[in-house]
Amino acid sequence: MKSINIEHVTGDALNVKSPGVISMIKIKGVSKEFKQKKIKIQALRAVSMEIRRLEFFGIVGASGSGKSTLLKLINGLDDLTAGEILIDGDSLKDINKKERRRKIQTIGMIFQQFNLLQNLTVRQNVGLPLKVQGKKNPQKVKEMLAFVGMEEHINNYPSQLSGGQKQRVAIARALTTAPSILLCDEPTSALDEHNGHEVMKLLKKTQEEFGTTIVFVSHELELIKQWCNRAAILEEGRLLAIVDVSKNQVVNSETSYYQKAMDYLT
Amino acid sequence: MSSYLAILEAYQGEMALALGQTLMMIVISMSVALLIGLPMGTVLYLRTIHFFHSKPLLILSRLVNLYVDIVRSFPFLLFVVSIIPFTRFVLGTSFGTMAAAFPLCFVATANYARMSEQALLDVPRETLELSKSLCATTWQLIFHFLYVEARSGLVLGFTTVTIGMISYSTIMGVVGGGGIGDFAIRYGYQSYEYELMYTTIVVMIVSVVMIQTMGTLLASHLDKRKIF
Repeated sequence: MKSINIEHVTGDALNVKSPGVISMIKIKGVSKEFKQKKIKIQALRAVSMEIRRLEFFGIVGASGSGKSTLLKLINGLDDLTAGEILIDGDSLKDINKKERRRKIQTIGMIFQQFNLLQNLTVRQNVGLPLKVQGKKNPQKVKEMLAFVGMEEHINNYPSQLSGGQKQRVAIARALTTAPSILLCDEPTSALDEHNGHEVMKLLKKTQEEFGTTIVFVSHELELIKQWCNRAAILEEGRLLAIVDVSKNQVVNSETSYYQKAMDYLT
Repeated sequence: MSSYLAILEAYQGEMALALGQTLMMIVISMSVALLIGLPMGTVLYLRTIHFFHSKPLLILSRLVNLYVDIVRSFPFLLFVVSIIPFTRFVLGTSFGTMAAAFPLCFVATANYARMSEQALLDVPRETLELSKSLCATTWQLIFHFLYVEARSGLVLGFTTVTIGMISYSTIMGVVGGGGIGDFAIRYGYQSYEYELMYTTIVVMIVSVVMIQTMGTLLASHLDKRKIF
């Protein structure tokens, strides 16, 4: 029997406090319910976890497990049905609209489909978050494009770029406002293995150079194992475990996604 | 051919005046369509994607939808005639080119509102997701995201409505609006000058083709989604 370091599993009496560790994101009993054609869908069920500052944290689960929903809730893209999310100690529901906006603007996000505006150049796309915040900093845009190695494509349009290049531009865009947290929603799943690896290296470099906390959502266990410090395993909206990711090789495979994840990651 | 040219020469003053009247009707109605129809279309789009949550905005969007449906389903000639009292109330007259442009404004606005709603519906959902993740305000969403991504569709829609308005303007002789269509009927068809009528039709076809070509060129220039 393998010895597994499981920090906590979901439950009503879950203690999300980890003494001595500075928490960046606290998720307390978060539930999310959708209505689709009058049918209620429970996307998340009382999920609690804590993501530490400067961590490369993975959220893993099969399709429909609620991992992307959780990411959207952290970024305020969607409203909670129950529970609370604290960003750097502040609850998003206790603060006024202006403060909430300011708080969410400290979170960067990259998407599976890159979400670049097709009619804007690379320069304009990267400068978009600054424009939304009423700032103008062409130098910062150039710096971020140099950071992701895309400065020579500054005047190109997204349709002139490859998938990997588009994701690099999306990363540069997310970094222009110097976010303390970077949420990554399956950023490599639309890319081939080589480009996916390059994007992951870039995310690691971001974490190391800018001190950004990375929250990385994926269904690919290999990526979580290779890049993350810890990972949360979700299944059907429930948090099953948060594990310290070990770099050991695993040969065994089990039938359920949870078993496979536990075996593989720990 | 020479007889056609001779007719054109003989009636060039009247034809120039008629073209000027059509141009005036189109410029007025399409300016109003741009200023009012585009915001209306944006409201319709935001309604379709369930963006509105406050009651006043929901009511406003329903009223806009109702306006667009009513005006677009109204037979145009009946619409022109039925709003004559309102035209007289607003402009002080129900006769002339300005009075003819007045009902055209309502129709152009309703048509362009629906066209712009359709163009905005082509904007990918990911664009909305991005604007939300960047905490863009509603104005920023509209001007920095939606109009940027839908701009070629908005131009094509505007072109289509402009051409439609040229067609509508041909019957504005009913209220003394004049215009190129009225010229073709009065000086051509009713005066048995069929050559003049066909010449005028050719002038209209050329005008429409020119407008469509300009619209298509501008739209493709603005569209950066596919560059090879």
